[in-house]
Amino acid sequence: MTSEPNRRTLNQWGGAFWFRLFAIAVLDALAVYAVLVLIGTGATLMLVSLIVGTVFINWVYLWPRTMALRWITPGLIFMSVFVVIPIFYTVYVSLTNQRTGNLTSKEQTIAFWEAKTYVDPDAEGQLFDLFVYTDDATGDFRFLLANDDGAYFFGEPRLRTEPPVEGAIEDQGTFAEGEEFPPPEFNGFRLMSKREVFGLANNVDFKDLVIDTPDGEIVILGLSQGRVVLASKRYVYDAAADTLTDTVEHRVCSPGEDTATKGNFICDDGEVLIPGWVAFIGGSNYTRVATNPLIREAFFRVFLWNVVFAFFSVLLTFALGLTLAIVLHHYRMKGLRFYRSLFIIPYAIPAFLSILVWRGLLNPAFGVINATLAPLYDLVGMDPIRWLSDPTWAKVAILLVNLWLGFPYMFLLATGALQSIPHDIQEAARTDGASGMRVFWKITFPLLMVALAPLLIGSFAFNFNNFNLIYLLTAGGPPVLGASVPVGHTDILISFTFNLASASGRGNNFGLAAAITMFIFLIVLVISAFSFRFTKRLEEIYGSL
Amino acid sequence: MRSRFITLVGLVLVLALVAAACGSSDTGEESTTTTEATTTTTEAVTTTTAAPTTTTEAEALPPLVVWADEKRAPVVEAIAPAFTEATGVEVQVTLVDFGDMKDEVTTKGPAGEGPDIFIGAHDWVGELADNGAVAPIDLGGRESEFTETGLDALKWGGQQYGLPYVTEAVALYYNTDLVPEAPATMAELTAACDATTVDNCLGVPGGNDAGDAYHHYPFLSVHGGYIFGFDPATGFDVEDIGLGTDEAIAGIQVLEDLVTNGYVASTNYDDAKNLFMGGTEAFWLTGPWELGSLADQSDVNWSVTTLPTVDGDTMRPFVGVQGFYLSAFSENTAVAEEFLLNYVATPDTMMALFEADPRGSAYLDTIDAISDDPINATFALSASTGQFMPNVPEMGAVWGPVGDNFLALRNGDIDSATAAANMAEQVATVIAEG
Amino acid sequence: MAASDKQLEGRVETAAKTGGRRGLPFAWRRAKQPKPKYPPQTPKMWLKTVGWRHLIAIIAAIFAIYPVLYIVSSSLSAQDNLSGASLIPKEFSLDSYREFFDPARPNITPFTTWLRNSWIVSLVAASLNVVLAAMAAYAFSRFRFKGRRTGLLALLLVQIFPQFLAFVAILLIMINIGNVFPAIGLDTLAGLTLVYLGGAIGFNTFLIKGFMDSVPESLDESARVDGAGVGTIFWKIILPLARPALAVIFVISFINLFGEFLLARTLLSSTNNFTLAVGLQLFTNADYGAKWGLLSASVVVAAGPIVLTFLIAQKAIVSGLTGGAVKG
Repeated sequence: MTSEPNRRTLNQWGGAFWFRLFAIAVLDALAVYAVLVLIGTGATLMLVSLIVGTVFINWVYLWPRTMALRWITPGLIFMSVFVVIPIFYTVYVSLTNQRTGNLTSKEQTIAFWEAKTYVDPDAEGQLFDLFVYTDDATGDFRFLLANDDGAYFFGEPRLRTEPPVEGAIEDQGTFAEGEEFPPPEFNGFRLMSKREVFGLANNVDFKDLVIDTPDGEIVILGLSQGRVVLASKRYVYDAAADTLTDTVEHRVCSPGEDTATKGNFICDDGEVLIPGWVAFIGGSNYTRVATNPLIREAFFRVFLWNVVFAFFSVLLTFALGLTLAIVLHHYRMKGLRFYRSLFIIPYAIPAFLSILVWRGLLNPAFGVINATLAPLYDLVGMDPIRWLSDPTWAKVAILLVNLWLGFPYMFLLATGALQSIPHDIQEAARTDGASGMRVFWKITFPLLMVALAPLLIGSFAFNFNNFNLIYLLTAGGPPVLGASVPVGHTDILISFTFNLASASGRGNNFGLAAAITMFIFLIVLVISAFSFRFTKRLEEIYGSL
Repeated sequence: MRSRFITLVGLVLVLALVAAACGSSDTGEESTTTTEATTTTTEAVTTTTAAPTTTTEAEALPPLVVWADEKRAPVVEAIAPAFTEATGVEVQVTLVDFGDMKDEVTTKGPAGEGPDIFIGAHDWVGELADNGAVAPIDLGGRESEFTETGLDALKWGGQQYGLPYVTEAVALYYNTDLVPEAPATMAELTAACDATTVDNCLGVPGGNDAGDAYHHYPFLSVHGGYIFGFDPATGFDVEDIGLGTDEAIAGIQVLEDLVTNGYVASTNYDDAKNLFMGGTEAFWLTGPWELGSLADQSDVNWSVTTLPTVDGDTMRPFVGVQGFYLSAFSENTAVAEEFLLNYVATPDTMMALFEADPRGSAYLDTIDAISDDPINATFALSASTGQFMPNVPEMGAVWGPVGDNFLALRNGDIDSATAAANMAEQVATVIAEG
Repeated sequence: MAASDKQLEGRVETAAKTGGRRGLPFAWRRAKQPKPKYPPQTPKMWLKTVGWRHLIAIIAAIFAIYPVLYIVSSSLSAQDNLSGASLIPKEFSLDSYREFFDPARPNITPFTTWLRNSWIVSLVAASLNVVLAAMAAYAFSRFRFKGRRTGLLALLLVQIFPQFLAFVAILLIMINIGNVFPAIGLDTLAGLTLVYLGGAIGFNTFLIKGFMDSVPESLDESARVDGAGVGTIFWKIILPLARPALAVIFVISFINLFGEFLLARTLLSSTNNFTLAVGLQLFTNADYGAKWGLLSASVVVAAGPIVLTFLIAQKAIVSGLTGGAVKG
């Protein structure tokens, strides 16, 4: 039905072409610059994405026969960067052991252990005040450390990571009472101002410094103090063997081999050093989700409610939205602007706030809703409904609040769809003698569904993972009693599994959470793809996509 | 086709040169920060890194980034100018929600976007230390200025993490119009309840629709129940779960009796608060953080007393400590420590912190200064009878199950023995399976 | 004579394929017609035609605004907590609003700055969203290419992934972007806008495509005969015709972005860069709802203009709805 637009007009050498060429050139230049910067920071994944993206853009806008892509690409780029890459990243995380205790890179972990010092617990040591001196001519630095009694050391510090230096102390003694302290000049060096010391601290972390005295090391604690302690570096990393050697307890720690210990150094004596780093552990997070008895136990209960919740959320919001659209869709109807404005109010208020208000309204003892219903309760002789703590009513409450939150969106869509249906079809059917109801169900509604079904599927997918609503309204509660795993009656898959992943054993397990996310994504994907097949059939009958 | 390609290449080259020229000043600054990491030789001290831009030292200093919540942030901001004045280091205060702080630090820290200093609760210390996210702090002989509980709570693996500023615990608020004299025992409390007609006698958060393990702990602990066994030498033993013990059941039974006899209604946090503030609740079990709202928003005459004893046993509340942590990802912990020791750990700042949020202080000088006030003294006394909240990461597996089962008990769905057994089982399974 | 189901279906099919596609879009045609005058009705007839409609609409309106009235009421009340709130404030006071707009507010909670940020980000991102989606929709509506249906389906399915669950990935991407171009990196409003553009195509494209399908291609054809290129056809013919549908998408995007805080909270860190949703969320968490009056006032100030704009701009927006956000 549609013909390919005239090719000649696309590739002509007009001003538009030169503009396009210039824009691409600017983009490429920025990309080249970005590549140079990224090479410096070593962000490989970003670099690859950037190059692929740039080549793709050049291809799309410079080669012929990519007409459609030229219109889609701008949106596609943003979608790739902020939706598709995050999906891949989630897959990546799900294949790692990322969790509390394994959050950093291996380099960061080794640096952490190498920075660990061993301090003899019995040798708490003496505290010194620290003053920094400099020789302006050479730029050399010296530290003056003095304790409360006036005893002092003066010498050159070294980095903790370096071997001790003999004779680092150039001068030691005791300041006499009444002497100017700290002296502005000392052994030919000038006392630095506090500002200068902090400027110096910009170039070296003072906590990495020690100064060797005949009695032991003085460990620099901060910019204005030091302490004599017998501190030693406890772990030494051997890059060739990839092991940490513990110099205090004389043991060797090497990286773990199996899934449970990968990403941590394990010492000869079996101790696992925490923290470790993020390591690949293959698909074991996925097998854990599939085989974990905790997840299995509650899975069906939660899954069932999740489907019910998402399905009824869509059904109810759509039913109300559509009803209101139909109600207002009459040529004699007045006050449309007024009604429509009122109907979008729930949509215009940030949801987390309106959910808070709803919690107040639904409060069984003090809320307005039960206060309003009180005469009814008396009449029927029933106890006030425990809105958020009774298993059944909590579910009703959730659907009610979600109806309130969601119907304006459906109303907007349904109004649009409804009014776009040509009147002639309905009129014609009417003149054929079909009743109003029949015209609606046989003509109007199918046409609406062709247009709106994909959006309803989208709404289903959104509600399936509507963590925010559940979390803010009931937090999954009320609890299912007697279950061996903490699960609530209104928990949906995402809230239930995330609770497990964040409460599991030792803090958060991000790898497991990512695997769960992918599982749920797959479930929703399958349901949605299946539904789209159904809408395709709708279209075959009523019009093509 | 070819000519177009050549045109494009030409254009790209020209523009890339332009971009590089424009961007070079940025890259120059970038290299100053990167070189400091690579030059780790002693010479680094003597010869400043060869930065392409010869800036004065004061300008080159990176700011000290402090993450604090909305109560603490203004206090930190107030002391920042003095620090900048003396040292040339700017202080950048970022407002982060207290509840989000731990997650934010652990996600943004490793990526290099974290703070140098952040505030937090003491029960995060295990998780933060295990993540390598916090650096130990050396108080440099000033340990004696802080409460022992405050310091101990922030210890992990024998090392001090964080500088404590708050030590807090719940106590018992009571309406002095309804209850003329503070009850010392649970029997006196119920007797006082019988003497009044109110909507609810003892308000305890954790009923209705939201579980709360924290406010129920005094009941759990009253006859000797506990969460994890504690040994001062080795810390908490997560294998030793004291939730299902007879002592724990006996303690929960105290609450169950109060619930079945109508002394404790199923109130959530806001219910208990609103009833008390509205004058229709005789007692309210909660912490000092509500002093401000009571003073500002309620006409009720009230006072505070310590938790009542039950059959001679003391109800031991959880003691919570908050502290300033040093981030392990900080480029310069020495600067950060300087700020904490000489600008935060001062009587003035500690007093300002207390005034910004009147929870109990962890700084002895401030405690002395505020203890003339009987209310503050009562909260301090209550904290001294308490037990500090376990700071092991396994606590993540505790809050949910314990809160949930107390909630079910409050709603009359289960009895104390079932609640205790459920808690113990759920906590054990989650820890084992995690 | 009543038409059989089959006849009706057949009619729909023909209409969808001829009237709906080839004919002029309803709104476009109607816009040129004078407003008709309807004869007066008897009260009984009124009840039967529109009376019950008003009844339903009023009930729904009450349902919609009931919780909101509590917000408005407590924003005007001198009392500062939620549960004690009643529909009519016991003590009327404008203090909350005064506090909101107080120029001397502590710089830790600059409400007016947050409000401004929210408007800027939502306006810019929603506008660009609409443009990007319209461009993609144009391609899907007017070009025939391999993988067209699959492509559209893929856009919809990818959109199903809950973006907020992967916020760590987005954070890392923004850190890297910030390393190269600090102006659009972490903790910038421009950066946040970019992230919001990630959700631009997908459902929006689908909606707009439906509308464009209803714009007859004979229009393109005649323009092309006059020598217009694809670009000209898009900007000069399709877009103006689709303007009403774009307005609906714009409203939906704008409102969604205005209330978004999960991503914004992760990406923004300085108080001055917060959007209102981020700021208010922080505020609710922190104060146990103790400052409920101020909170309500902020909600009214935030949502009020949106509702008001909708009320005033309805002529444009509703004719958009009339024109059909989807194909007929």
